[in-house]
Amino acid sequence: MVSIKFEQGTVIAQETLTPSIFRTTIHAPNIAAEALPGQFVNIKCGAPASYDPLLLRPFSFNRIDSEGGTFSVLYRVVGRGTELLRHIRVGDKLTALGPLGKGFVLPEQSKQMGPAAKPSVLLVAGGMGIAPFYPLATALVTHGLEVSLLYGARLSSDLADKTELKALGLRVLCCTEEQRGECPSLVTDLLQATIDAGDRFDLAYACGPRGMLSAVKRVCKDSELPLQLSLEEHMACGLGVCLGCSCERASDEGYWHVCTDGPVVWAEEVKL
Amino acid sequence: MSEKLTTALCGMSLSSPVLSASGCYGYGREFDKFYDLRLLGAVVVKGITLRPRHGNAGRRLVETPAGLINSIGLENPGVEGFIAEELPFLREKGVPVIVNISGNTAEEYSELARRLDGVPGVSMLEVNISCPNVKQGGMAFGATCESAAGVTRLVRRHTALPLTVKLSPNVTDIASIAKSVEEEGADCISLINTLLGMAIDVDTKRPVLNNTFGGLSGPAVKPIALRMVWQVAGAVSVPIIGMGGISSWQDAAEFILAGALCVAVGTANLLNPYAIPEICIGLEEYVTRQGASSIRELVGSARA
Ligand SMILES: Cc1cc2nc3c(=O)[nH]c(=O)nc-3n(C[C@H](O)[C@H](O)[C@H](O)COP(=O)(O)OP(=O)(O)OC[C@H]3O[C@@H](n4cnc5c(N)ncnc54)[C@H](O)[C@@H]3O)c2cc1C
Ligand SMILES: Cc1cc2nc3c(=O)[nH]c(=O)nc-3n(C[C@H](O)[C@H](O)[C@H](O)COP(=O)(O)O)c2cc1C
Repeated sequence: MVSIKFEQGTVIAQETLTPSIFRTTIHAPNIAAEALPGQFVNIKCGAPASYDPLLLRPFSFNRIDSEGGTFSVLYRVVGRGTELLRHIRVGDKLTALGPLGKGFVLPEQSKQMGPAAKPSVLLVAGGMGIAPFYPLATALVTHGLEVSLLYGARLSSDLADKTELKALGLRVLCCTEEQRGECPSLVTDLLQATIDAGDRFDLAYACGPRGMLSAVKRVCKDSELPLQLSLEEHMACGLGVCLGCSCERASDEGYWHVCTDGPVVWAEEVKL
Repeated sequence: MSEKLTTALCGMSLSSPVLSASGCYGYGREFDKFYDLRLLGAVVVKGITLRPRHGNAGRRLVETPAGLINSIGLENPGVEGFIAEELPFLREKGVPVIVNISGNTAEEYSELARRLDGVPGVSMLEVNISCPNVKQGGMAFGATCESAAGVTRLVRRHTALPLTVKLSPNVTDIASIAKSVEEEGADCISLINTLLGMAIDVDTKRPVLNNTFGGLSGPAVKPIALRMVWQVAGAVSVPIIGMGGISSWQDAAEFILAGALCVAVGTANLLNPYAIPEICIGLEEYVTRQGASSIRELVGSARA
């Protein structure tokens, strides 16, 4: 069991990727030491004793440097917390709780996947759903797996991390609403087209808005492709205490809790 | 911990007047990974019902300025699940356990009281007649003197455990409700539960929560909670567990000065896992600075 740390870290880099997408890098060695792809961190975005905003904000790990003691989060500014986070100055302190939740199950740990010689893995990202994929792709590539990424966003300038993921050796196919007409504009259409074209995968991972996840789930189910989803839900403690971040279970009645049963779940375990 | 924070509540000796508030501490497991649970005077566990409950559908949390609206709906493993799966852990940790109980009917409360009576490891019952997030029962029992008294009387008959009755702030005269439960044998009074609140999504033009209303907690409610503790402390002679927005030792000290023997910390645990130990340290230093030998000397001091 990983131990969760409530750690005061230091912001060591602030990057502006687009006018609304940012990456913040934090030196917090105790959290970074144990962080795994797909896990997340709860960040206090406001001033230390401030109630503005009250709750910590959850973000997936977008970069993990366990040895260097740092991690990054990649986010879109959508409200008060993310607005404050992007304005924290390099050198300032920031408190974070993590690593939290269950991360991605890698192919060799995964029972759902058939015994393919060299498994081929598919990543499907919608918008900020790209955030957790860089650490995952790094792990997959290190294991010598073939990795493809289907990546959809509204604008082509919103395709954060695209170049870096390509540089890892991934096959990357993108779609945006700008290039409508040339190719599918929705990542789920791109997924269908890729599968229809005869591409075969042994395992898929998806992260993005709820509607996209449920469409990806349908397509993967039809082609019997095992799928892991990274979920988001309104959340408070991140620890499994408040039971706020519920997500309906598929099989029996009742709920999973995204913070501790997820954020990564097998698609067949949840109702979307 | 020094002697400065030790206190006695309904025959229990507590290491500290600081307790967890129900629903914001689970069954202690998560916080045990951060610090020794014996720092707390007692763990007040998540609300328990007779049968397991899955909780409410739809979104369960809405953040507000310095506040949180929740609509969890008493998701819990039921009394048997609690006794089998959760209580042994807390017993082993050696921290007193206060079990928060909720029913849809008055009979369910008495059945819960009977079931928990004499169960090793259970120190006290907190009768939740103030949950705003369930369709039947819950807050309705805390809404009038008659219904609050009725539930208290029934529960009292079915257990020898000390009883604290947890009051709803969603009433016009909380002091009279406190008096009527005291008359029916409540050994202590807990207050406040959450304030009824709501939020509307301006895009969908619908209430955000499936149940329309949820319970507001956090720093935003503290002045109201403190005022109600003050009013109840002036009306009853049983001890009070005060809560509502306590996030710092200063907040805790205010409730104690207003007349609460113990305080409970809820929402603050969700923002800072070390909230309770930090409050305990601050209170202890405060006692020292006040030249007092025990926190007990400060209970109700603001009323003088
Ligand atoms: C496990 C997890 C991992 C996440 N990882 C990332 C990430 O890597 N990058 C990223 O940009 N975002 C991520 N998010 C979403 C991120 O937490 C929210 O965007 C952020 O909390 C918004 O805070 P705010 O104060 O800026 O906006 P707020 O003012 O709180 O909200 C702005 C809008 O976003 C919606 N929103 C807020 N929180 C959530 C949530 N948890 N789920 C769905 N909608 C929400 C609100 O309803 C509102 O419409 C993640 C969420 C979870 C639960
Ligand atoms: C997520 C959440 C769950 C709660 N669950 C319960 C519960 O099961 N039983 C109960 O009596 N009170 C419950 N409460 C109310 C708290 O115990 C407390 O009375 C209230 O939140 C005010 O204190 P606070 O502002 O410190 O949180 C809950 C509160 C929150 C925020």
